[in-house]
Amino acid sequence: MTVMCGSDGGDSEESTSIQPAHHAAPEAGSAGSGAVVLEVRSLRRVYGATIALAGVDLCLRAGEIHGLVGQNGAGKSTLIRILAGLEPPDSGEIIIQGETISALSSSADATKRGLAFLHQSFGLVESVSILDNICLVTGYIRRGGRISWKESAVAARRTLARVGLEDVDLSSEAGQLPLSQQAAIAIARALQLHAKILVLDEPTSALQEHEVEVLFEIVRNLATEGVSCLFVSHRMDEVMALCDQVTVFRDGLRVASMARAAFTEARLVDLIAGIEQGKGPDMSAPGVPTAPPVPGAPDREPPRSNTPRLSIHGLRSASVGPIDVRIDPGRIVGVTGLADSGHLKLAAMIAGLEPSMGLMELDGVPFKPTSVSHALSCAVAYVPPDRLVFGLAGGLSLRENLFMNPSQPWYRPIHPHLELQRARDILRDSSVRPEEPEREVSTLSGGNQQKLLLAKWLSIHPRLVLLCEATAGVDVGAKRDIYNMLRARCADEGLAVVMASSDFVEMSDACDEVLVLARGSQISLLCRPDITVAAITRAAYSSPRQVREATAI
Amino acid sequence: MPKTSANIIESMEIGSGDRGGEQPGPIRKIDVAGFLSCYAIPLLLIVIVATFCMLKPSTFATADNIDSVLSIEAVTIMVALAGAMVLVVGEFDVSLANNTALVAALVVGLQVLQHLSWIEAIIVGLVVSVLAGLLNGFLVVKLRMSSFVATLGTYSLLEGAWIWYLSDQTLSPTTPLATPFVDIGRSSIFGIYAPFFVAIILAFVAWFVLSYLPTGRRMYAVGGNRQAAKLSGIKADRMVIGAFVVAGLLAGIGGVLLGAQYLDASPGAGSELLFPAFAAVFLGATTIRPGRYNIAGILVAAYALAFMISGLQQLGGVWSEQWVGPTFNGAALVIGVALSTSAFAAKERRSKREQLRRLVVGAKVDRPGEQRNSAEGANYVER
Repeated sequence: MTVMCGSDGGDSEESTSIQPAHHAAPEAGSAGSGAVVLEVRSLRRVYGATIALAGVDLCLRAGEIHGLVGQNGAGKSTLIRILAGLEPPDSGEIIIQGETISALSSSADATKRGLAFLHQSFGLVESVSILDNICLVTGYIRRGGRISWKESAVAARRTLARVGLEDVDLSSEAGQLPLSQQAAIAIARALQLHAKILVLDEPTSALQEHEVEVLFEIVRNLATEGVSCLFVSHRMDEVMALCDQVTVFRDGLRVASMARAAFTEARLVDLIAGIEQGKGPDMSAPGVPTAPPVPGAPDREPPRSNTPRLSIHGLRSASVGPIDVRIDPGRIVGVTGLADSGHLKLAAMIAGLEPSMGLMELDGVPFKPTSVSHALSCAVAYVPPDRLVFGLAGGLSLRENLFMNPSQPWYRPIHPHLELQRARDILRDSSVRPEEPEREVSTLSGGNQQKLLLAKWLSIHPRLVLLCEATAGVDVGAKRDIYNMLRARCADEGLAVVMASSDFVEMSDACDEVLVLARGSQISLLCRPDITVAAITRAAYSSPRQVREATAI
Repeated sequence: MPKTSANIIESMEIGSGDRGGEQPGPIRKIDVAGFLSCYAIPLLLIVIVATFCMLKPSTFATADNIDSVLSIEAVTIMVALAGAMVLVVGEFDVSLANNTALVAALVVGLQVLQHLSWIEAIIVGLVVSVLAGLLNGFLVVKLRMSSFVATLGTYSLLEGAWIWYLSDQTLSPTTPLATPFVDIGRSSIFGIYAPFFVAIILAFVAWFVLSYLPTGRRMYAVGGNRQAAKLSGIKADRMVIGAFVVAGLLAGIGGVLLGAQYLDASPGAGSELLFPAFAAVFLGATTIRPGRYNIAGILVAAYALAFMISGLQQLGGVWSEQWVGPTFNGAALVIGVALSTSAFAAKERRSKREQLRRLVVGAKVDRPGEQRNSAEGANYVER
C-alpha cells in the first residue's frame, strides 16, 4: 500500500508520477497499521539564497521503520536539525503524537516529546563506564541526595535488556566495546527517556557488515514494540533491507514516499537522481547517455596526448582500490562518490599522504611518492580539503600564505617588494577579492579563501594538481572563477587536474572524465558526453553486490 | 624598520575599505586608530621615560641609571627572544628561565669549582642550554607531549640541577675571575655596558631571520597552521625542534650575560625572569605588528616595563618595595593584552560587516548566474 500522507505541497506531479504499479500489502507486524506519531507538513527552511527545504511532508507511523534518502543537500540534514530543535523552520507545522507545533524549541524539547537522535558517532563518552554514559543522559537515581548506584544500575540494565545487552558489564568503558554495542547503548539510553521515535542519521558508516546486522536486529525488535524509526542513509541496500517505507527528498522537496514492496533499488536511485522511470539505462551499462550534457560543460573535447600525465594501474590501499585510470595533460578528471566512498583517500594516495600499493607513472616515469614533499618535487600539487584546517593559516597574511615555503636557499633573504608584487599579480590573476596581500586570510570569504588556496598551488606551476572538495561551501561566482582558472592552466600549460569531490553537479559541470567510486571500488569511468548527474548518481549508489561485480570485471 | 612602516601603510589601506578598480600604490591616509594600535607602547615608553626624568631628575635621569636598566634588562630580553622563537612555531616553553639560571651558575661555578678556563666554562654552559632545548623539542615532537606540560617538567629538572650544583649556596669567587669574562659584563661602549649590545645584536639577527629568511617564514607558517605547513612541504617537526634548540641557546647566552654581570653564582639568579620575559613577549605581540610575536615589539615592551618599574622604585616609599615589579608586569600584561584583544574583536566585526556588504554587492552581480542555475535545476527535475 502506498502511503501518501500529509498535503502534497509543490511536488504533486512528481509524487503522482511514481505511483507504483502494484500495490503490495505492508509487511506483517510492522508498517501501515500504526497510528501516526510524527507528521511534518509543508516544512520550509531557507538559508540566505539557498532553499534547504521547499515545503516537505513526512509521515511516520508507530512501529514503522522509515527510510529517508536523497543526495547531499536534498534537505535531509536540515529536516533532522529542525526535528532535533537545533533550528526553527521558516514555515510549516510539525505534529508529534497528535500535538501540532510550529517548532521544537530546543533539543530538550525534542527529547521531552519522545524524539531521540543517533548520529554516526553515537555520542558516547568513550572514557567513562557504560552506566555513567547512560546516567549522564537519563540522570542518576538518588536516595536522600546521594546517588543510588544500585538502583541506577537496575534501571540501566532493564533498558539494556530491550536492546539485547542484558549481560554487559556496566562498569566497562564504553570505548572498549564494539561499535554495534555502542550503538545499542546509545539507543538504550534514549529508550530510558521514553523515546518513541528514533532518528538514525547515517548510523552504519562506521560499522562493519556484521555489526550493521546487529544494529538492524535491534531496530526491528523495537519496531515490533511500537517504537518508530527514521533511518537516514546513503546505502540503498541497507534501506532496502531495513525499511518498511521510504521517502525520497530531492532539492528540498519530497519527490516520493512509498512502501518497501513498491520499488526496486535501481528505482530508488533513479528517484534520488531525478531520472524518470523507464528511460534510465541499467546499472550494468554505465555511461550510456541519459540526457544531454548539463549546460556550462566544456563543449570541445580537450586533446588527448600520447603519454598520459599520470597513469594508475591497480592502485590500492586498505580501503580503496584497485584503481585503473589515465589522466592526460590538459584534462580535468573528476573522482567522485558518496561521502565515504574513498575519493578523497584516492587523491591523498596519489599525493603520497596515504600509503598505497600499485603502479603509478608520471609522464612515463615511475612515480611512487612517499610524502607530500616528494610529490611536490615531482611538481604534483595537493590542494587539501577543509581550507582553514589543512590549507591556509588564517592568522597569516595572504602574501605569507601564498609563499609559505619559499624555495630559495636558506641564506637568501626574501625580497619584500618583489614578493609583494608577485602576490599582487597572483591575486589579480586569480581574482581574489580584496586584492590586498597584507590582509589576514581569516577575513576573506570562503570563496576567496578557496581561490587563494588554489592560486597558491598553481603558482608553483605544477604538472598535476589534486583538488579535494575544491568548491565546498563556495558561492557560484567563485566556483566559476575556479573552473576558469583551471581551464586556463589546462589550455596554456597542459596542466592535468584530478578533482576529487562528492558534488555530482560540479563533476558534470567541470570535468572531462569522471571516475566514480563506491565504498572504495572503481565503479565506472564516464567520458563526455556521458557525464551526467544521473549517470554519476547511479554509479555512486552502487551496492556491495554491484561493487563486487564491478571489481570482478 | 622599512618593512614595518610598509605594513602600517598596508593596514591603513585595509582600513579604507572601498576599492574603486586598480590602485597601483597604497593610499596615504592617516588612520589614527591603526596608528595607535601599532605604536601605543612605543609612545608609552617615551612617556614613561620623560615623566620619570621630570619627577626624578637627579636619580632617574642619570646616565648610570639608564645604563643599568638597559644592561640588566638585556638578560630578560634574551629570555624573551627565546620564548618568542618557541611561540612563533605555536609552542610554549616555561623552562627557559631556569635554563638561564643554570647556565649562569655554571659559567661562574665551572671557573671557581672546576677551574676551567672562562671560554671552556661558556662552551659547557651553552652546550647544556642547547641540550635542554633539544630535550624539550624531543618531548614535544617525538613523544607528542603538550609543550606546556613537557617544559614544566624540564623547568623543574633544570631548577633541581642548579640547586644541586650550587648546593643552594651563593658561590663567590675568592680570586678574581678571568678578565675577558669580567669584560663581557663590565666593558662599555659609548658608556653603555656590553650586554645591551649583545641583546640588541641578537634581537636584530632574530628579527632578520623571522622577517626575511625562508626559515622565518616557515616558522610563522608552522605556528599559523601546522597541517597546512606540512602539506606545503615544510618539515614542521624539524622546525619545532629547531625552535626549542635555538630558544635554549638564546636562554643560555642570557645565562652567560647574567653570570658575567653578577660575577658570582647565587641560587635562583635568572629563574625570576620567566614572568617579566613572557610579559614582554605577549605585550610586544600587541604592538608594532599587532597580533603577531615580533622582535621589535618585544624590545619596546621589555624596556617600557623596565623603565616603568625602575622609575617607580625611585619614587621611594611603598613604590620601592618588592611587590612593585610583579604587580606592574602583571597589570601591564593583562591590560595590554585585553586592549589588543578587544581591538582585534572590533577589527573582526568590521571585516565581517565588510564581507557581508561585499556579499550583498556580489549577489547582485551574480544573480543572472543563479537564475541560470536554478533554471538548470528545473530542467533537471523535468527530465
